Amino acid sequence: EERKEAGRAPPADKQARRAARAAAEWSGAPAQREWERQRQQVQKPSLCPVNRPRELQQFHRLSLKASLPTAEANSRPAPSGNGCPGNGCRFTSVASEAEGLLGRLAMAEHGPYLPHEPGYGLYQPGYGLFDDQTPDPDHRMLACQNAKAYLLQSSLTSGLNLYDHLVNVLTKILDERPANPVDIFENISKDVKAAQFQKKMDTLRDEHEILPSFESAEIRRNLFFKSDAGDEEREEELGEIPLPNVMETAFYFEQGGIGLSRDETYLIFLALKKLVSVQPIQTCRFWGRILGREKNYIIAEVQFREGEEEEETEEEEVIDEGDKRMDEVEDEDEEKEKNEPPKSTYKPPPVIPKEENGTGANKHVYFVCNEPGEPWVKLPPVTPAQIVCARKIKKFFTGRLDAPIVSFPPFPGNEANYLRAQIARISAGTHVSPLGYYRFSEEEGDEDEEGGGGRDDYEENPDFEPLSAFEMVESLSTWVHHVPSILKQGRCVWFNPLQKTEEEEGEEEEEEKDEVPDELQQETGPPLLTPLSEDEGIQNIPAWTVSLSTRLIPQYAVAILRSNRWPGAYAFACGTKFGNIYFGWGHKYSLGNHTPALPPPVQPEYPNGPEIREAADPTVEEELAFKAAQEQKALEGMEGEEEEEEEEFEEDEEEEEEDD
Amino acid sequence: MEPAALPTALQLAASGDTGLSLEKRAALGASLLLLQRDYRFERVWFWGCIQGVRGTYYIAQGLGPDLAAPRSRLYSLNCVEWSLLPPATVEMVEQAALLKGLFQGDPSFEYEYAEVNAEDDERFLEDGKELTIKEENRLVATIEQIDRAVGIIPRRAFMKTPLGSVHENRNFEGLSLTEAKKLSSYFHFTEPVNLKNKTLLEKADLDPSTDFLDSLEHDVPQGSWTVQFEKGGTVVVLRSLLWLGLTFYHVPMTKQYGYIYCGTGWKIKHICQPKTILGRTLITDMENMKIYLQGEKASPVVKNINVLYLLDPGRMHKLGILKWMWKKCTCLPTTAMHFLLQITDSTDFKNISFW
Repeated sequence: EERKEAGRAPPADKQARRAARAAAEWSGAPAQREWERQRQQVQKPSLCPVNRPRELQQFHRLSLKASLPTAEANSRPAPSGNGCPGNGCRFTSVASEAEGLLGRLAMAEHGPYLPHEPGYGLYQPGYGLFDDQTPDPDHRMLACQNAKAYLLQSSLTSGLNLYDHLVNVLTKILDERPANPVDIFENISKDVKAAQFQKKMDTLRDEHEILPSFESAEIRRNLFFKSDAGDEEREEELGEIPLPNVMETAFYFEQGGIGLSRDETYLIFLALKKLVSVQPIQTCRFWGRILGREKNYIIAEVQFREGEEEEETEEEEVIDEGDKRMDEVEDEDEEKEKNEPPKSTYKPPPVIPKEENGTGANKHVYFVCNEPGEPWVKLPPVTPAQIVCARKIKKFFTGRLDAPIVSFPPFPGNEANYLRAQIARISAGTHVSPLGYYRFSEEEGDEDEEGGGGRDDYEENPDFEPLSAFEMVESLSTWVHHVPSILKQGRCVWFNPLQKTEEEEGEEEEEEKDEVPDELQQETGPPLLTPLSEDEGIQNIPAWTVSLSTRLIPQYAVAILRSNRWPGAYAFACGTKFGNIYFGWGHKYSLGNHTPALPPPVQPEYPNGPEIREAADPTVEEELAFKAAQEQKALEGMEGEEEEEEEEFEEDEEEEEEDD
Repeated sequence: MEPAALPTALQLAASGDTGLSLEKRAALGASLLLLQRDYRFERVWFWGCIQGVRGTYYIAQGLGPDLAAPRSRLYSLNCVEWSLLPPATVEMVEQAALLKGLFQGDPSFEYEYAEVNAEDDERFLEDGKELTIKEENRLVATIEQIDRAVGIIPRRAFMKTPLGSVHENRNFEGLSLTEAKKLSSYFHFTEPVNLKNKTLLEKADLDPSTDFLDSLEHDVPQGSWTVQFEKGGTVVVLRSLLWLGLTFYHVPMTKQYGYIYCGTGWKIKHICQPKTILGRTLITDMENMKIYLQGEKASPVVKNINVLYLLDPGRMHKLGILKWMWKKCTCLPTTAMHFLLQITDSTDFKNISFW
């Protein structure tokens, strides 16, 4: 009764119970171990497989009968599990009590439990579980001991024994009280076993784990430090801070379900702030994010203040010089080896010069980084050759700017150049604004003279009257492109390659005269501020999909535009606000699969004609026919000129040769 | 993923376009629960969306007690009214494979097939079927394909009971950071195919209750998954390069995981596409400009192929006996091109390309 009382003690004083349990274990354990050792020595022969199940049954059954207080206490938690008011404390204390008792009994030095002994055979057929008249409580006690002794045998492989294990498992279950413990019993058992090996045995301290996320957290934290006072003053002097309100744009895009998570957008915002404070920037914008295989690119679009980009031009010159040097080396080689075969007559097509910084496809400068907080890297200006080649290939970005681009046709440059080319293409194709937001500058009156190229100068229209979101969705003609489209040549403004070559290389005029007749047609693209309704789709797919952010509250709706030609390019318009952004893989949509360009046909080595072609050998029939014809001829001209005979003779010889 | 986890999931897995405007997101919170009530599902998962030209399909899945059992799929155009989709059949998938281009956004739209070649025409005519495919069927087929190809779960997240049904593993505590980097810790949540082909040695380390699915490790083509740590290295994000738009996220050491698809429902085939040639797999890897063969023992050391089959979409052409020195092709990427060119010259094909 006392024991039960102890078990029902309120769970509040857990500590006390734990202490009690520990004490119980400490008192019980050594005696039990000692006893166990003795017992094993004595009993080993008897624990044959025939006896074991019987013993177990006996144990179980005796416990159920509950005539013995120890057996009762032992049995309680095992079969019922839930609903038992007891807890781990009670169980363990009781168990240790039982151990003590068993230990005492063992001192009586009872031998192995054998079939002829009383208490054996209770489970013979005909015996009910509860209706039998058990002869003697001593016998039950004996059976109980035997079963327990079996359970206490420690495993040779793991050193554990089932009894302790069950105690631990049940303690865990009763401590943690999971729902439906019977369903997850195996897992708990596994967990308990696994926990056995986690005991820390050595005195060495574990090295503190350094997660890779710490490093990036450090980088991000740097974004939150306020920059020096000097910078702020400088900005104030300028009056106008070129930093865009990224969060506002993100808010409008979020209405349409587009955008990164807010935290991340804010980090990008801070990163842009950092960029603006470091570089002499006039305008700045968050262009978007391009996904890569290893890392992603966050891209900022900026325009430098005038006269502060000298750095770049120097770099370019260096590159040019490098090219020249290469050429010189080649020339020298050619001079040395004069016995070499004649020079190739192939002349590479004239290189189309890239557009000046601040114009055309190079109007903006782009900075990229992989994670907000990392240093921004400036992308090199794009060349027409890169744009032309980028149109023919389709590659995923890796996230490393210096990664090579392995492709066919070969791409001139590395991933930084490819990224820049794709950015130029995406910008040209998808940067749109509401009709009337921009207007052409008034200074340029002579736009007709310039031809199809159109004016490339526009300014914000102060009299812009915004359309409602509904109207923006109704028709695509309310949207216009404000970035010039890139021509096939790879430039926004057409450049005539022939003119320049004539000027430069007066010597080779004769050769060029042949080329001049097929005058190159000037390529023209749609003029600036062309409505989107003129965009051509891909087969039946329109170029753009429009939607409203909400149909239920039309007065606050935002018009959202998705590009189908560049999946991942979006635009929004809401009142006087509009924005463009790109989130995607940097690939243009293509119907079906991408097919790389085939290599050009192999050049012929020499003109292929009948004079150098090997004739097929005549067949036997042909020869016979020919011979017959010859003979007939010979018969006709019976008079017999010696020459003919000679000919026949020759023919015979030939035939013989062929036979050989 | 569970509707309750949707807001967090969208924050973690947002890769630009979730397709869910705020209005739709809020509507999902209510309508998915009602879906569970009306159809008597044990649980409802939001699967993602497929964007069309004129509208977007939002897809939800209803699950019974057994997670591996076929799931009911429902679609909606406004996230409020849901309609049940028919189960996918092999025929549907075959037919849908012939279609190209974007979805229209109208479930009753019927595709007419002008592009289907003569052979297929005959086949369909014999069956006495019309030459049209309803967009609804295409939708079903696409979802089925995506689920089969790239529906993934972390290892140990699901458990197979001795009775064969699959349940969530309540003891799953998330992958460790080192595990999360490896593709072998993620499983395709579909009928395993490669598991049976594993050797006994490989199977020895597997636990039958948790490792009952195919891992992503040996996915063909290799490199069709990107594994990235995002949000400052706290979330692992897997993206499929075959089905652009599929994003899987998992916060290591926690139970948070799930995938969402938001894309056009178009499979990218230009990375590399496996085709079977005489029991071997020919893989054209456009990313690295390589063509290589996977032999029965997964060794790419095949000296030459005597018979090469070229596959037009849907059909197979035997091109006769061609000696193709294999090594050359792996060394020089353009050799493969020239080889194809040679075939173009020697046959009637106008153009032969990689698939």
